Amino acid sequence: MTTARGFVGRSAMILFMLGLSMVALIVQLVRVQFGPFAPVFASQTQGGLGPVEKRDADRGLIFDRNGKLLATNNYLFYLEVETRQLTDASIKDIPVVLAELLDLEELELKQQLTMMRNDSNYYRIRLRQKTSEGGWIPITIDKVAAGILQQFLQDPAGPDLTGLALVPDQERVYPAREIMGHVIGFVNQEGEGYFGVEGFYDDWLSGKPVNFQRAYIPFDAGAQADPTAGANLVLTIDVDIQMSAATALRDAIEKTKAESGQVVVMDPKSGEILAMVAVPELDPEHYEEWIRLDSDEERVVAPAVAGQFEPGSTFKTLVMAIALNEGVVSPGDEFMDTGEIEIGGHIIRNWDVEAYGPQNMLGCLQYSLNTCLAYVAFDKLGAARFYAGMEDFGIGSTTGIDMAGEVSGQMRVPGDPTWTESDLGTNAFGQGLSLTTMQLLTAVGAIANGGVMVQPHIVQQVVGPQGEYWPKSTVLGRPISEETANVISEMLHLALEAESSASLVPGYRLAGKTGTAQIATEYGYDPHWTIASFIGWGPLDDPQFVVFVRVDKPQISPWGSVVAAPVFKEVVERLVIHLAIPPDDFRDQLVETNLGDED
Amino acid sequence: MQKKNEPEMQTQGHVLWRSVIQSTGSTLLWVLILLVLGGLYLSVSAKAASAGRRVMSLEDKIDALKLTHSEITTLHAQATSHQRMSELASSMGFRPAELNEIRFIYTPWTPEKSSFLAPVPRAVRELRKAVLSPAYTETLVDGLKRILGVGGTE
Repeated sequence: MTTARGFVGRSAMILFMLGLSMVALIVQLVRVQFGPFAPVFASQTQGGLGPVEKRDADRGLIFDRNGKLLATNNYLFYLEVETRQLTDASIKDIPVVLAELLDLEELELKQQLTMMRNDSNYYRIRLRQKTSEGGWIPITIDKVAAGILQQFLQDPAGPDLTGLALVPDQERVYPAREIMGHVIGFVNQEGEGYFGVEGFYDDWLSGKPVNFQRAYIPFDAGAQADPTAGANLVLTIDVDIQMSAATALRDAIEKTKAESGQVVVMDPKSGEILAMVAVPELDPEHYEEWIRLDSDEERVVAPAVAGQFEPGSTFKTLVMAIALNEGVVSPGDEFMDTGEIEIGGHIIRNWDVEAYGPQNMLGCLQYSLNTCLAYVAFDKLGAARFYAGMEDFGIGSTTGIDMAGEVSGQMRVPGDPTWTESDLGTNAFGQGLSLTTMQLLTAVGAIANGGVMVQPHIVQQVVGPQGEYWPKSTVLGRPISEETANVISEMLHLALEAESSASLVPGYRLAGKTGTAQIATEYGYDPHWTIASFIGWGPLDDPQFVVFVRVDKPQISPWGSVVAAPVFKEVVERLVIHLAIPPDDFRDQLVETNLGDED
Repeated sequence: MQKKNEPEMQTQGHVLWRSVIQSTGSTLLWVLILLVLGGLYLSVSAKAASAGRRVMSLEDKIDALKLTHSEITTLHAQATSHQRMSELASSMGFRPAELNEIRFIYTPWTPEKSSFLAPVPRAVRELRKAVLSPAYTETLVDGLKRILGVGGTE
């Protein structure tokens, strides 16, 4: 009987244990379904978040050509509240803790919590703070503050933060700040890239997000898919050159009391952009003001590709190149300058309203004679050949550079209802048409590169999870022959040496052209302000750079030769050091030595 | 008659008791088998769960390390930005060399500068721990403690 009693006792114990387990299980199920945390699960489903969440990929990094990091990511946390999970205690404690920790207005926070808790439409809210302008922005905290809050959340004896959740997100960080702002563009709060490289390569940089279910069950460990990370980009930009160009431009703008300016440096052989600077500079971490300016068309975010201007005399380079290429003029051809010429009923005068008497084509470029170039375009080339030549140089169409927001410029051509013969005359010296810095640089780059026009590009390398990709140089065409390119280069070299000493760099043979353009307004040309510019390239025997300088509305002098040419010189002096380009005589000596060795 | 029937009833009682024991024994045997199987299942599950927990913990550590790496990279980039370095250099009395101070030397034996190759991007996941609501982590015991006022946040 003892055995039977013991058996019954053991059986009862087992049954009791099983029963207890069942009760515990049922209690846990009831607790999950109806307990204090039930709203957490309910809010996820009813609030539209659902059990499936979207996981964004890390945005790709951006480097300069030497590996300097230009754009990276930082992690921050948004503060969200699951309103149905809030308790009376947590409604008091959350504002106190956040106000103390983050120096925020306690009352504002409390109002948000109370208001949202009483509104049955809200299940989850993102806490916000007031800006100095009176708007509202989401509250973000860094990893340190998040760590402190997390400790409070886990501490039973700490303040009651029930309902508070930390939602991680990324913010874009630009270590080079405003030096690269106009090139890179920026990323908005939703993680979308706008303008420049961020805008153009947004799809590549942002990667592919994945939808997933959080693996809280250990058996699901390792089964979660990771998002495809965004590709890393290496730019053709050299930050050292960029910085040198920015310094030179800033100094020039300060000295001349100008409003704004640009410097762009390109390798004419490969089309690689080595530097692209614009002042006023854009800090990509504080871009809000630029969005307004850009949408109001007051100032564009990427001025080198999106900003249009009348090029003025720098455009004469292309006109003369087309005329030489067509064989309608040669450098020695004479032109009698009387100081004015009538084309299509429009009187064209020289920049200084002077007459220069008998000149050859070299003199026309040297003294930048509007009358001469108008004569060449109208009498020698004619509209058909002039505009066909311009089309070959890509004027009127985008260059296809890999930056967002590029525009094509405006050039009326025969056949357009508004085109007149006088347009041909004014177009010849860079008036009555608009183009972008990049178009001019690409076209002049063709002259520097022996007649071969290469598409400009700013990304040198794309490295994604699937592999790496090196964009190759693309030839856009051959608008002029190599012989013509050499002739016009030599002409502009001689013109530079004779007339623009401020742009000369001792030891290097360079070619270039100054420009002073009037600024078109809706009421005609502005009588006060000009755009002073300079475009040049070198070394002539082996051109490795084309540099464009533009200074807008200088106050000390309106002329490109006075304002922009010295900037060109300063940029080139730094450029030859950065690119390790020795002076001409050194390279000539080297060639002779090498030839001697081969013999 | 009664005396005659007594052993028979006793025998019937033994038989009944035996059959009860037999049926209970066989039931308990099945229960035992189920318990053994359940125990085995629980043992294997516990091992798998433990391994899964370790994997999840390691994944979290990897993610946290990647994030730290990312943060340090950012800090390094900011600390060594061109502007910062230029300011530092000029504060130490350095200045960029002028062109006329540069002397070019031909060094044919110098290897060509190799192009920078960007690192392959890797996905970094979110910090799961930081966003995990107690709703997902609170056990029944934690809940009871909270309700009984032994601990918890309510």
